[in-house]
Amino acid sequence: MIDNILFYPIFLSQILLINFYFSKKLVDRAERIFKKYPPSKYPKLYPKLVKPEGKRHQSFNLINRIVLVLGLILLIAIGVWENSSEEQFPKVIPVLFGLLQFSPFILMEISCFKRFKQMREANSSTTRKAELQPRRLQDFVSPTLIGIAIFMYVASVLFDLYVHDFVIQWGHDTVQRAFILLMSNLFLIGIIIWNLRGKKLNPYQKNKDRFRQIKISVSSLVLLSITMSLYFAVVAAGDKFDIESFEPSIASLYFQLIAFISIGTMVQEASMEETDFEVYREDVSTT
Amino acid sequence: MVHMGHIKIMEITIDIDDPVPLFAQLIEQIKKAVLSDKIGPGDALPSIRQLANDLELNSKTVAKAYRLLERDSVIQTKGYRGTFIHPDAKSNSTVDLNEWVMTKLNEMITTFRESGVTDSEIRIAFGNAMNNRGN
Repeated sequence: MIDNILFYPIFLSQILLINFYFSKKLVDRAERIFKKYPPSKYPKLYPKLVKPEGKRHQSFNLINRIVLVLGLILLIAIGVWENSSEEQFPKVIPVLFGLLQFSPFILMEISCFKRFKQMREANSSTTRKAELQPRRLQDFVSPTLIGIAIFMYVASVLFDLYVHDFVIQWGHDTVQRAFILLMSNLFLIGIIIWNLRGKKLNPYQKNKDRFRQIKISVSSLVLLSITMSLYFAVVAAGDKFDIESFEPSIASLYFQLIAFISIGTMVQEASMEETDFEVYREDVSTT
Repeated sequence: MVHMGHIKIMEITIDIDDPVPLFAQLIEQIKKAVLSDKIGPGDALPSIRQLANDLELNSKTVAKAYRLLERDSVIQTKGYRGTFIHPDAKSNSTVDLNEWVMTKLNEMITTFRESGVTDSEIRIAFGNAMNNRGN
């Protein structure tokens, strides 16, 4: 069947993109930083090495490899299922596996939060700097992109209702999707507000670096919102236009797009080159 | 002043070990920024929460600084739209109420001393006056 033939390379691409390509890029980037800015010269970047840097990367690599192998086993299992059973494999599998794929990256983020906390605890500087200007959403992301995100959200919900003849019943797929989309967008809005108004995590970070980091984060969160709305609209279309059999492939492409937007921004080469690492030197006064 | 693309960012610095109270340091920094034209009438200021988070201060400290700056007409709050630099901020930033209070008190104390009032009597009277027990 054409949908299944398409599914295998798409799902393989999902496995390799997230748990091989992006994980490798992230570790390579971290190792380059470690070599270029070693603890001997930039001690503030490594406040307390509970785990040696190399071991942290090894753990991250190991988890990614386990997930990668699980993905390949899953891919073979799906192939066997399809050949031996009349029924299609459960559509939820690529979605659940997609969530599992992101777990090493979530652990990595938690580890970064811990490191920032250690940095704040180790920071002995008595001076504090702040910008005398409000951080507004439009300073970090274009109003057009915000408009597109709002339009896509409304359009996705309305399209779903249109496809299901505007039937609004609690427990119905349309209502569930609208609720999930609303909650997800509220969650993203919460992270955006936290980025704009929240506490400065890295006590040494220069304001211009913080500005750029917020810009990257906020832009990717708005793009995530657009991607979610698009995905939910496609899923709703599946009920009307008989493309349900393509849903696993669409879900896989959705996860790849999410990975590209979220992890892709984390591994941007340009951001490393532009970042001021001199603030982490022993003899430099802190911000 | 830091440039971030098309946006010019004015930075302020406070020292938590400085004997000058933190709210007073904030007031002084904002007034200095106004007097040196780094920020001008109508420019928006960060919210209390943003500034408190960035400077790792209690929100009440920043709120107190903003309240006193508003009293001196250096800044003005426009409801939910935020806090902005007052149109007359520059001329109002040169007025130092603390200095004025000190001048007035010194004049008064000199008058009392010249009239033969002792320092301890002045302290007691001042304390009573501050506690509204003077009458």
